[in-house]
Amino acid sequence: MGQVRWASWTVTVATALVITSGQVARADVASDKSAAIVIYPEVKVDSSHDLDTVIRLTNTSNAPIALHCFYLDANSHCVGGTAEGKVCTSGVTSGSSVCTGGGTCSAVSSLQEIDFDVTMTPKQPLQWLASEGLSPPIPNGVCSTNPFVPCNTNDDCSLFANGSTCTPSNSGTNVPGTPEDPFVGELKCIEVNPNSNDVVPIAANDVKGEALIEQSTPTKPDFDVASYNAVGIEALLQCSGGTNDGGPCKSNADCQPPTGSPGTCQAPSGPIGNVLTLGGNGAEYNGCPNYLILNHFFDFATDPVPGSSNTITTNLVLVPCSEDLESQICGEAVLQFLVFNEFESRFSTSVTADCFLDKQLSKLTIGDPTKSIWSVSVEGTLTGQTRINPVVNSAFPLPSGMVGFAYETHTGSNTRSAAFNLHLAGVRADKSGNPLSDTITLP
Amino acid sequence: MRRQRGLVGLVGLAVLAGLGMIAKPAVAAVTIEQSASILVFPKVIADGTRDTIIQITNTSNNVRFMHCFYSTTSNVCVGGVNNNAPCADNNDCAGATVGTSGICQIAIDPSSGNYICSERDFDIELTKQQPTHWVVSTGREANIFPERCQGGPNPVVCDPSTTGGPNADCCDAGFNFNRVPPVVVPFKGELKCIETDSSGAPLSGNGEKGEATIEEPAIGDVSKYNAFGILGNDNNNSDTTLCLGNSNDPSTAACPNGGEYSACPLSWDLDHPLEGSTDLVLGGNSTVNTSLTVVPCSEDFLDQSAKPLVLAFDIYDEFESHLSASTTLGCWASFNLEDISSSFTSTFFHGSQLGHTTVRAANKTQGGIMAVLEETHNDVAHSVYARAAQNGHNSFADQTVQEFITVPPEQGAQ
Repeated sequence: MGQVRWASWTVTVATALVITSGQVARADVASDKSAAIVIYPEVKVDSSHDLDTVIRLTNTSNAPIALHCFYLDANSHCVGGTAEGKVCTSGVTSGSSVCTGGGTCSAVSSLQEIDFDVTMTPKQPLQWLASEGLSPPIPNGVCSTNPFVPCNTNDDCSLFANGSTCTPSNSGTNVPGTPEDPFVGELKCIEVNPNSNDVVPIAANDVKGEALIEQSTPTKPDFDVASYNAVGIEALLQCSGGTNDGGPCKSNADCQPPTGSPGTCQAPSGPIGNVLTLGGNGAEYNGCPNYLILNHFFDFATDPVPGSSNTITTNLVLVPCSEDLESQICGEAVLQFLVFNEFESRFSTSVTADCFLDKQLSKLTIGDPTKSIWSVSVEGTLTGQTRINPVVNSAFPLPSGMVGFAYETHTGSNTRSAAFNLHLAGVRADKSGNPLSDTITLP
Repeated sequence: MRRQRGLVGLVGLAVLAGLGMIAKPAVAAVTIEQSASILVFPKVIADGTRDTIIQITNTSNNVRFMHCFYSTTSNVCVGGVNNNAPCADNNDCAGATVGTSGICQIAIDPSSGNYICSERDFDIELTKQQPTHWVVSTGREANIFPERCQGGPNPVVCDPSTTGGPNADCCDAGFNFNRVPPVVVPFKGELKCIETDSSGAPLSGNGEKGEATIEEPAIGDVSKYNAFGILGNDNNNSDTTLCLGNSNDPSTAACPNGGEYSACPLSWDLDHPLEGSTDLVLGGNSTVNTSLTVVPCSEDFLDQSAKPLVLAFDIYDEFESHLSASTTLGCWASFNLEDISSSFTSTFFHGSQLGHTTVRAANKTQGGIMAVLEETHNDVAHSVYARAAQNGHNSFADQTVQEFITVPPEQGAQ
């Protein structure tokens, strides 16, 4: 009897360990997998400089889906003076050509969001110019027994016999153009229940996206295109039935062990509320990374390709994982940078980041960029590795992890750029090792 | 006593499970964002017009070693006086008189029907956290005491004409313990790097990441993508047959430990402009074209051959219209989408501009692949163009066929 109890206790421990070992959300935010939340860290529009962004969004599933999206305006605006509210560049103060009459340019410190809905048919790709949006007429459904008759609901097809139904459509989609021109900011889309009139997030990983930032050069015939993959945050799924019942999964394969009975990978039954938890305890979505790793040329490096006469600089773009879209508060973090060159030399520095960051590496810290730790003449080698650790500061109203991408600019007779995604590592935790969550609060 | 051993085993199982050390089912965990044990750069070009910079970084705190392969198709002249001679293009197959010329084609082994590949290998070594780079056309000399770039009154800057050479200035500054050979120009192919220990035995250390920058120096054009990483598992037996993903029977003769690396994805999701569509920013007088570069996950560097894979494409437009297409892949291929099929054209989709394509190997030639897209945006009015590269998206679908990368024995543990 004693042995039976011992065995039973061991089985309990084994089961508990199997379950708990799988419950820790991994830092596998990814830009190469379909996800439930897609983040475009930077969308830029400036019609005076022929600059615009093409947004691409694709439903990879065989079913219709719905998304609720937010543009988050990161423009700085003039405060005071005669140009109150005008878009300006942070750091330009009174007397500049923008903030006239004694006004100052205030850096963005809170989010101004504009939200909209997108519905997508099975496997459908959509694209739009950020400056213009995507307005009707966009694809409507058609009646199943008469494809020449457009419809929005099954009622529109009731005149036809044989139970004609309305095929999936983009009905309800109305993507606005960016709220300002010039505009710089973030776009975030969250997969929601397509059968609900309310914004109800669901655990489904169906959506992927890319952004192309394009700019023509008005003074000469030249053109630049840089593209990056949207950062995806997957909803956590779990096995239903079978030997792995209740365990975490990404596909049915995870629920079909070599021995034992198979289950299926599906969304957990519990609803997701208006506060989305990313990573940590009670995670509904994968967690943001503890480290972001950037391979880059040091700023002002000469392009080493024979025949080139360009110099290279790299910009880092980061946005917070945590955002309170109801109270319009964005997450903050102290970014700890570790910089390594090709001689294994290590340098470090830190910067505070909040709603939106797009800065040339050598301008992340104050001072002469040519003397920055990201300058080629300081580091001595052409390329380097920068590890970025968003550190929690309890004084921040909304401590946060970060996601983003980088783009490098090759400047010579022509100026061309290329964007690329960052590498991600680690699970966010506090100084005691306790897992940290990020939250997105929906209105 | 027997019961006691059972209990100990159960406790051990519990501990192992808690530590996450029990082999998990293989899912397609090819990644562009995590450090890995195998890096794959599908598109590497050094053709005299374009060149490629490779960047690889050791993200760990230990010294790391990699064994790398440049790999591509072999081409031979078919017909003419140079029949069966290696060639780069049709010029190499030209005869002196009419009727003596052949054409340059991908070489196929007539007995097996497999494509014949060619590879060139080398080793790199990285100290902890060390990044490195090289230009593909020039390679990089072994040099551990190179000159540093510096500013100030006596600046030292990179002179690109010295890159890769024995007298390279600070273009090649950094520890470089092994020589990276230049490719034979023109080269269009793949770079694959496999993490090893110091003896050359494959190792699942998951300590490397990489990027490729493709440039056209004459116009300054630049596009960039992340290397695909294949994660290593703890059960690597370090032999020269690298096993990717589980099979239904993990204990096959070639893979006694089962899958030593993550599985390759069965399918890829690709967003791309339909061929002949216009650039949204430039408008009317513009076009956008897309090239798709694909490599197989399985690779036999010993026999230098590849089984043909039939690639099946399903293309959807914004209006839910659906077309399909197919083509064949050998060792390496880069296609303009419209050369695969007119199903990729805007015209065939009645003027649609954007496509969503799912690509996978057909059932009868099942195998994993990796894919990179590169769009060319043409400003026709001003005769200028710009390119942008993208990594494809892969699914989590399991890859049921086990993939193998076979390294020649003399390049394994020494």
